[in-house]
Amino acid sequence: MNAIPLVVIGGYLGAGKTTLLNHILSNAGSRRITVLVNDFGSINIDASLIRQRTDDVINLENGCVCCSIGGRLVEALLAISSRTDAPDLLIIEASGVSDPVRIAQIGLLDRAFRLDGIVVLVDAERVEETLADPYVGDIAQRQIAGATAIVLNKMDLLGEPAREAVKARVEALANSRVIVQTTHAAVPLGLVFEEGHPLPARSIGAMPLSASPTPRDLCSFSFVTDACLSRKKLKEALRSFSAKLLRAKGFVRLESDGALHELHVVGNRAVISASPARTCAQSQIVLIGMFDREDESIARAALKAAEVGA
Amino acid sequence: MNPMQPYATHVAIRDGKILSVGGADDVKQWGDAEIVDTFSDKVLMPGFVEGHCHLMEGAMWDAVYVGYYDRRGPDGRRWPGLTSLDAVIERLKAAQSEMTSADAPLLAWGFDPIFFGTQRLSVRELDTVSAKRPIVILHASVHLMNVNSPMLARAGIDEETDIDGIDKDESGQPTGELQEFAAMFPVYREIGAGLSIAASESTKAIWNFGRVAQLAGVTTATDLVNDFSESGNRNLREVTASADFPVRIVPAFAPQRSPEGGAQRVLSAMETATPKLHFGPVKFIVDGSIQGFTARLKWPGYLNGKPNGLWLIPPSQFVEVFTPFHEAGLQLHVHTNGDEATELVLDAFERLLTLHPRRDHRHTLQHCQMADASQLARAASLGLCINFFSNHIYYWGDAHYTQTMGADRANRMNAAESARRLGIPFAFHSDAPITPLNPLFTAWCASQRETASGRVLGANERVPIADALRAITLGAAYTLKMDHLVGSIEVGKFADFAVLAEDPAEVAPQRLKDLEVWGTVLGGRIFQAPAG
Repeated sequence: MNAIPLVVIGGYLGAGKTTLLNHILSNAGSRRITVLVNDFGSINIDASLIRQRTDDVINLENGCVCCSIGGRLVEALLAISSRTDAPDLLIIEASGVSDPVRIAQIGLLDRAFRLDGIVVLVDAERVEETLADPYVGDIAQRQIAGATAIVLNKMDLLGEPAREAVKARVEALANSRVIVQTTHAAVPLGLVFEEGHPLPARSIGAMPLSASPTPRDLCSFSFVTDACLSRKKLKEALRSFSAKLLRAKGFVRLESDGALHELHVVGNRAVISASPARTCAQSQIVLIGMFDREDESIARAALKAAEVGA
Repeated sequence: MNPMQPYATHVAIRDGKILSVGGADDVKQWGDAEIVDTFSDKVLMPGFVEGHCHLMEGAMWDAVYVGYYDRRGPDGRRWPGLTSLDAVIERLKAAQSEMTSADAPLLAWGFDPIFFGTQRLSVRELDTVSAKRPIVILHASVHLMNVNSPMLARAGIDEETDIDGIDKDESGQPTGELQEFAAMFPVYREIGAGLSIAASESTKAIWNFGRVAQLAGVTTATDLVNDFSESGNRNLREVTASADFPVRIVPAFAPQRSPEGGAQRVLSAMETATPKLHFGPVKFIVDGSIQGFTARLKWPGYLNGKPNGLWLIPPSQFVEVFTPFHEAGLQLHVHTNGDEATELVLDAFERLLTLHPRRDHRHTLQHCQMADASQLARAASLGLCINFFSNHIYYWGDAHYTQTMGADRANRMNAAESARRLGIPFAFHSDAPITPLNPLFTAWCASQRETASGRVLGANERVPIADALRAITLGAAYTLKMDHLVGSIEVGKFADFAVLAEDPAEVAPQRLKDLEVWGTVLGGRIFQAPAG
C-alpha cells in the first residue's frame, strides 16, 4: 500500500484557506486531489471548477473531490485509506480555530498517510489584531508555531514598512522559515505538491521548482553519497536546518544494518522506515526548501557530517 | 413533582397515559379498572429524565469495564470498581481467558489513571495479560487509550515514531499510552467500529443503552450527539418501536459533526416522531473538558499552569452558526465547560436574542460547570436553562480542587443552588458513558456535593432534596421541551414511572444514591430490573 501524501491547511478565519484551495484545485493538472473540509458550513469552490455537487460532496471537472466532513474526521480518513483508488494527494482544511498539527500527525503515524506539509495561512492585514484577541490570539499563535510552511497572504493590502513588520512578527512566532508572501493565496505550487519527478536519479543541484515568480528561493537540491549514514547524526543534521526545509525524501543506507531505509522529512519531523529491497547502493536525498546557495552548502556539509567515518 | 398534588395513593392508566391520579375513589370515577397492587409497598416517582447522555454507553458494554467505580451492565450485573492497577490486570486476564477466538482484540473501557497517582499502566503489565492478542483500553475521558505490544506492532508504533501523543519511557520506548486522535487512529483502524460514536448506532448498542437506563429508573434519555444517519435512524426507529424497549429516546442533531441538511433535517425528523422517539434538540460544542485541560478558562486559567484550552467553533462565529437553528424555532443545547466559553456563549445569545427575539426558546447551557454568579445572572435574564454536570463533583472534584481549578473555583462549580435562587430552570446529568447513568446518584451529587475522597465542595451550593429530585424529572423534561409529556405524574402525561423501594423525600439525604430502583414503568408497561 502506497501512503497517500497529506497536506493540512490551517489558519484563522479569513486568512484565505478557501482561496488557497481554489488555487490548488484549479492547478491540479492530472493529479486527483481529495479535499476534506474539517469544518461545517458550505464550501466555496469556484463554480467554474464544479461538475456536480450535493450537500456535502463536490465533484470537480478535473476529477478532484471536495468533501465537507464536519467533525467526522476519523470516519472519513478510514474510508479514504480503505479505498482502492487512492487519491494522489489528500488535503485537509482545518477549521479556523483548530490546531492543524493535531490533524497532521496522522500523516506521521499512520501507514496509510504521509505528511507532506502543514501550510498555515496568515492574513497579513489582520494578523496583529487576531494575535491580540484575548480569546483566539493564543490559538492563532499555536497555528503559526506549528506550521511547516507559512503563507503571508493579502500582502498587497500593505505598504512596504507594514509588510516588513508583519514578516518580523510572524518570524518571531514561527519555527519554520519557509515563509512565502502572496496575494490571493497564489502560492508556488511546489509548496503543496511535487512538480518534478518523485525520486532523484542524480544530483540535480539547485533549481527552481516552479515557473511562478515568487518566492525566488524555494528550490530543491539532492544529496547523494556512497557512504553509510548514522541514524542519529542524520536526524541531527536534518534538524540543524529544518527551519528552512519544506520537505525531504529519499533512501538512506544506515550504518546500523547496512540496509536502505526510506527517509521522509517534513519540517523538523523525520521518519525513517524500513524499505522494501532496493538495489541502489547509494543514499539519495532530495531536499526542498527555502535555501539560498549558502544555506545549501551548510545543509550539504551537515549531511556530509552524518556519513560514517566522516 | 406536581406541586399542586405532590402525593397520591392511586394512579389510573389508559392507552399508556395517566388517566387519573389521587385516592382510590378519585380514580374510580373513570369506571371499573383492573387493580394492580404490585407497587403497594413501593414508591412511584415520575420516570427519570436524563437530559445529557449518549447511546455510546450502550456500545461500551461490548467491551470489558475496567473503571474505578462500581457500574452495572445492561444485564444488571454489577461490575465492582477497580481501585488498583493489579485489579485491572486481573479483570483483563479473566476476560481474556473467556475469549474463544485466538487473535480477536480484547477491548476494555472506563479506565482512569487520575485515581492512581503517578502509577501508570504500560505495555509491560498489559503484556502479562496476553503477549499475542492485541489489547486496547479506552480511558474514561475517551481521549486516551492504553494498548499492549501486539497492538503497538499492528498499529506500526515503535521507538522511531516521533509524534506528540505517543507516550515514551526514559529509554525512548512507547509505553502504550496513546493520546488524542492521531495517536489513537491506527488503533481504530485495527479494531474497526469498536469503542466509537459510529458503534452506538447499532441495534445492539441501542438495546444495551435502554437496559442500562432502565436499571437506573430512567424512562426518557437523550443521545446528545447523533449523526442522524440513515442506518442510525432506521435502527432507532426499529428498536424503539419494540414494546419491550424500556426508554424514550431523544436524539440531538449535531451540526458540527454532520452539518448536512441543517435545521431542515431536524424539522423533517420531528414530523416522523413517535411516542418513544422524540426530535428537536440541536447540540453545539464550543470548548473541551476541564479534566482534559481543553476547556476555555477565564483568568487566572488552570491551577497547574497548563495553557488555555480549545475552541471547537470560533467565538466570532457563534451567532452566525446558531442563527439558522434559532430562527427555525429549534432548541439549542450548547456545551460550555470553562467560564470563558460560557461567557462568550452568553454574549452570543444576548446578540442572537436581540436580533431575533423569541419567546420560550429554552436554549440550554450544557455542563456550564464553572459559571460564576454574574454569568448565572445573565443566563437568567436571557431565559436560558442550564443542565449541570453535577457528577463531576464526585468523580473529578478532588482533581479540580488540587489540579485544574483550585479550591475557590472548585467550590463554586456546578452552581445549581445559585441557579435555583435565580429561578433558572435547571437539570443535572451524567454525560454517560463519561460517568455512570444514574439520576439518583446525580441528584445526590448536587445535594451533597461530596468528592470521591469525601471533601465537600461548596456546601452553600447544595440543592435541597426536593429540588434535586425535580431536576432529574420535570426539570430535565423542561430543558427538552417535553414537560407536557413526561417529568411528573399528571393527567395526560405518559405513564412513565421510576419504581423505588423507599421514598427519596423521606430518607436521609446521604442515602439518596443508595436507594434501590425496583424497575420502571413505561407507558403503563412494567419493567422490573434484574437484581443488582
